Amino acid sequence: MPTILIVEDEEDLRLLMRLSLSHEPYTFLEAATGAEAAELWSRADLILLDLRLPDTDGLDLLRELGPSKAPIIAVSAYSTDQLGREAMEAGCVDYLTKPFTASELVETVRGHLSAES
Amino acid sequence: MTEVVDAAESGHEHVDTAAPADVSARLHRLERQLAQIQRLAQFGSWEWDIANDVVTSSDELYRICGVAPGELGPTYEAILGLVHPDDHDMVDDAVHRAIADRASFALDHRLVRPDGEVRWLHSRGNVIADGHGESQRLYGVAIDVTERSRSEQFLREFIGNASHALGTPAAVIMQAAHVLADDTLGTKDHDAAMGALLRQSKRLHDLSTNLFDLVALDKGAPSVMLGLSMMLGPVALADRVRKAAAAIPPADGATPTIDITIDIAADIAVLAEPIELERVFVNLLDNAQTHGGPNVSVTASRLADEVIVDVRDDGAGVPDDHLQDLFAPFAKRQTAGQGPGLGLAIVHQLMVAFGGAVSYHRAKPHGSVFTPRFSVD
Repeated sequence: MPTILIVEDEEDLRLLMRLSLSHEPYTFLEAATGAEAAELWSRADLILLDLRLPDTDGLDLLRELGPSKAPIIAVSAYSTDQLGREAMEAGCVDYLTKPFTASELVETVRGHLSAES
Repeated sequence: MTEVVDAAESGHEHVDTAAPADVSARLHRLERQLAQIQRLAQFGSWEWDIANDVVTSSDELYRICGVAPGELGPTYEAILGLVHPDDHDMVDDAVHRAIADRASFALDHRLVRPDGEVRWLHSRGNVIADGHGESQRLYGVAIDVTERSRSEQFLREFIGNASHALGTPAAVIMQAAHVLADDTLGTKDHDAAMGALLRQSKRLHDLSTNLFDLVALDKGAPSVMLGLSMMLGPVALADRVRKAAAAIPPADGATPTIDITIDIAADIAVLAEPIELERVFVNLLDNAQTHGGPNVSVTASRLADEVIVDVRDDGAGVPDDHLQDLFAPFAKRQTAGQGPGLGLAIVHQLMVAFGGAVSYHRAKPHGSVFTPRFSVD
């Protein structure tokens, strides 16, 4: 069963992302800060990464932790083409703007997990 | 002696019949008035005799520049030398364009005082041409707009922070609506999503109420605030602290429940408004629950003309780099999922409105002590 790491400081958003993916056969890991994310980073098969965290910028975290074998999907409330480009340059495979529908999240996650396998 | 002031200069015909001594006294008085006006309005004036490169400046201009009159060479380059290096070319260009076009200029720029302090100035100048249309003299004023620039910057930051703080729960609410729109969601998941929706709606509501109150408080009108008339009078402290302790929002899974001990003599009264006094303690205790805890005590001591209250917790304490702006709106208190807050900013504003104050110090060996100080009459 693939493991999804949700890196997001809003507890309710983590809950809602989990609920959106509840019909899928995934297990979840959750991190509210960059420091927590760093601990769980290597255990995930796919990472949903909020770009604005309380202790660090999501893109800085990405650069600091280096390339991951798991695909990383950037998540942000502030969508600009510039930010999307920066996320892709930093190593993200995709980009989601909050709020997104449950099916958008499901399809994005599914797509990148099947691309991996 | 009769002196006729040029009608073209004064704007109207005027005959002065004063004696020379009176004229001198009047001139002296006018000079003094001009200096006082400049001081009050924080503007300095200057005049540059371009051909001879001699700049005459008012005392206020020297004061704005942070130098004593005469301390600075009376040349254009000497004055320009005080302009911030990043603004130097912009100012020099504006001045030379005005001279070439025999026109005026107006711009905002920084200057660096000899002690290193940076001030913002609004400078305006105008050229006086000689009979042949050649630029002869440049005169102008410089107004110290540092405080205005600071408050504009504060406002910009405040609006940015407020947008982010309001935008976050709004985004979660929209996300919850998307999840709830899924009709295959089981009852348990539906209730969980509904819980998130309600929590975030409340957060959005509380935040917008606090923002409104903070703006109302910031107007500094203690008698008419918060949309209600705030009548200050003696209020029994212990009652209100007990009510506040009962009213703090229940701890959710993310925050540990706190144990509150209240030790306040029943006859202690402070100058306040009852509902807003309760709010001070709701905010301080909520803050202790979120950032401090788990053991919180509220104690009060009565001095001659004030009552000092300690709200003490044995948590981690406020990190050093958060101390500076602790009572400012949206101060950085980086706890995951909490977002920046207005609670302590409102405590500060309310305490000022009560004629008191609030301060913070670190508890020994660890923890936080918030100390509201109240007047008693």
